[in-house]
Amino acid sequence: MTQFAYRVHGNDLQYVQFTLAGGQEAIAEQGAMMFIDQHIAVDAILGDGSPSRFGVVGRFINAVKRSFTGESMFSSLYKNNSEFPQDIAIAAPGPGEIVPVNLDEQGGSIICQKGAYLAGQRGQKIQLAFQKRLRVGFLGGEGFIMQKISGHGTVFIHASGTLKQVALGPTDTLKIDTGCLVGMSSNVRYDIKYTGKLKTGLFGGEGLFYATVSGPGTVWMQSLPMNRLSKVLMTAALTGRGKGSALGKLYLVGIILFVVISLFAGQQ
Amino acid sequence: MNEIRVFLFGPELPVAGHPTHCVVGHDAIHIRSDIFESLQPVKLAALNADVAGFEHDQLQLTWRHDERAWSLIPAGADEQRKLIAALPHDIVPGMRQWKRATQSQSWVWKGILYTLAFVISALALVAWQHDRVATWAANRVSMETEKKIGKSVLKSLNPEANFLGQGEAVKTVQNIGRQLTAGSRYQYQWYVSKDPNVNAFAIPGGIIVVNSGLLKLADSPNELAAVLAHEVQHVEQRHALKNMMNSAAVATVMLVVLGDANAVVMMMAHQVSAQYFNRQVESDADIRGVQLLHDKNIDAGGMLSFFKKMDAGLDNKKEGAKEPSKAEPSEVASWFSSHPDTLARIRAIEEYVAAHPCDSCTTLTWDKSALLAELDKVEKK
Repeated sequence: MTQFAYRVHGNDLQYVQFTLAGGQEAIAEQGAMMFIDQHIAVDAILGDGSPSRFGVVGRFINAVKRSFTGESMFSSLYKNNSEFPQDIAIAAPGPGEIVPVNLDEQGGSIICQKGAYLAGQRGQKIQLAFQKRLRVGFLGGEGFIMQKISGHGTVFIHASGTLKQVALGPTDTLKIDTGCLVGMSSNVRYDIKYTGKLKTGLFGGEGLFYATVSGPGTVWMQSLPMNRLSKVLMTAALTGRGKGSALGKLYLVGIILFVVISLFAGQQ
Repeated sequence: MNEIRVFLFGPELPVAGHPTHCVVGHDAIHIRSDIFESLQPVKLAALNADVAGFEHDQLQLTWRHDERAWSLIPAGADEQRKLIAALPHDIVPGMRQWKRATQSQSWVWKGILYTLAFVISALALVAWQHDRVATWAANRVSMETEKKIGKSVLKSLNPEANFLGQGEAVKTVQNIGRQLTAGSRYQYQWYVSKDPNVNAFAIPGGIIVVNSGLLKLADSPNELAAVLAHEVQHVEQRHALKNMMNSAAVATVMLVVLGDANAVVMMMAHQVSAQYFNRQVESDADIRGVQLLHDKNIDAGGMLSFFKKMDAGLDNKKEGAKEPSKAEPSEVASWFSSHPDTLARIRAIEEYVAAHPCDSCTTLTWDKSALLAELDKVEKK
């Protein structure tokens, strides 16, 4: 399968532009399209478009399972109907980075956090990966459901913050703050570890547990998980709204006092 | 020699591993590869078994060579099984721990599955046998608690103002009541309420209240005895407590199913369940009431005649009859509104009485005129 020629544009609010050769197809998240060239046809397909042993029903069930991983049930198929190369641009759904991953280099499949998938070549499968370790599911920061992307070629994943890719050799282990893990190749062992000290756990601000990833394989991490970002924005939004001047408050108190006094005055 | 397909990981190798083969020998593992000649062979005792993979079910054998870490992972589940079968578990360090770690995972899930299955089947059993369970739970409540509940309910009815303390009416009810409840574990208290509605009710702990309206409607002491027997059975069978247990169970189920306890939904669910439960309880009290009457050698015909009278009163009310019957329809309604399915109940009682004739049963006597005179006096006040 021929690879895309792609280029990621922007710094924090990115989009990826890639070129489809004549007859080539790409799949992207619903509603992620920014622009496409004239001869590219768009089609909505159920799930990731891969066939199922159980026909339409199987495909529908796969799509439902896929929707649990933070994707929509349908995705968009882009096909270049001309003989010339055509461009297509897919935008990230939020602030963060788009990272291209070559699945062939990662052993055919990677496991990502919910909703990480952005776009990729046709034939790639997005499946539900269920976390069987209870402790990791409850305390690992990614929940019980993750996303398994398998197939060939390039896939674009997206996560908030700045993304960091680390190649782990055998027996290499990395401690990660829970929630900062974006994805890993399928050989990587994802576990949790007690911080070791109650004081660190309670006052260190990192929680009682670290996530650990052990090689061999590749891991991707994000600097700012979405929930942390939304918390910061939420706090700012709430405190920003209450920024009234002291004089304004005094004016309000005056009105209340006036109303109360007028109540008593009416009694006599 | 059994060749096993593995991925080799190490310095300067692709991050997804280098596909190759290995053979497990007597005390060492031989990796078939030209480029890694210098690695060969790796002693089994120098290996270390480790858990790998997202599912925590892959076997990874790691070792150090030239101060650098190397490892191999079997290519797929079948190859892993072959490798585990070939490896002597006593020699490779960490192999036992690996087995325990991977097995514990399946044990945990099996445990969860079995616990869930047990809880669900237990719940199904309780739902199926809820009547027996409610009875069992009601019987666990101590007599003291029941009495306490009864006392507080009685207090809320304001007995000083609403109930007759003494006189012919109370004496009549007490006489018949004592005949019925001789030898019971409860100490019964009998009250007559100054209420023209045809009604009687039982309060947990052995408190039975008869409205003056009901006393007036009763044509014979046997009819009064029948009503009392019915109410006595409510007490003896602890129906009020059973009802409470039932409501608690419904509330619990609703809480679990709906998560948030929405008051309106709870009320509706309670109403429906109470309605259904009432029917069972009432017919239960009917039949047991007849049994009690027979035990005390009292003719049970009073129950039938009284019920039929009530039913006629209800019909009058429905049709809006111009001719006022003996009791005002609106007054008749109250006892039966809490006692649904009248005709079915009458039929059930008829069947039971026909199947269990009581030859030695007698009819009771009372001084109706004195009773009426007193009740009239009370109501005029």
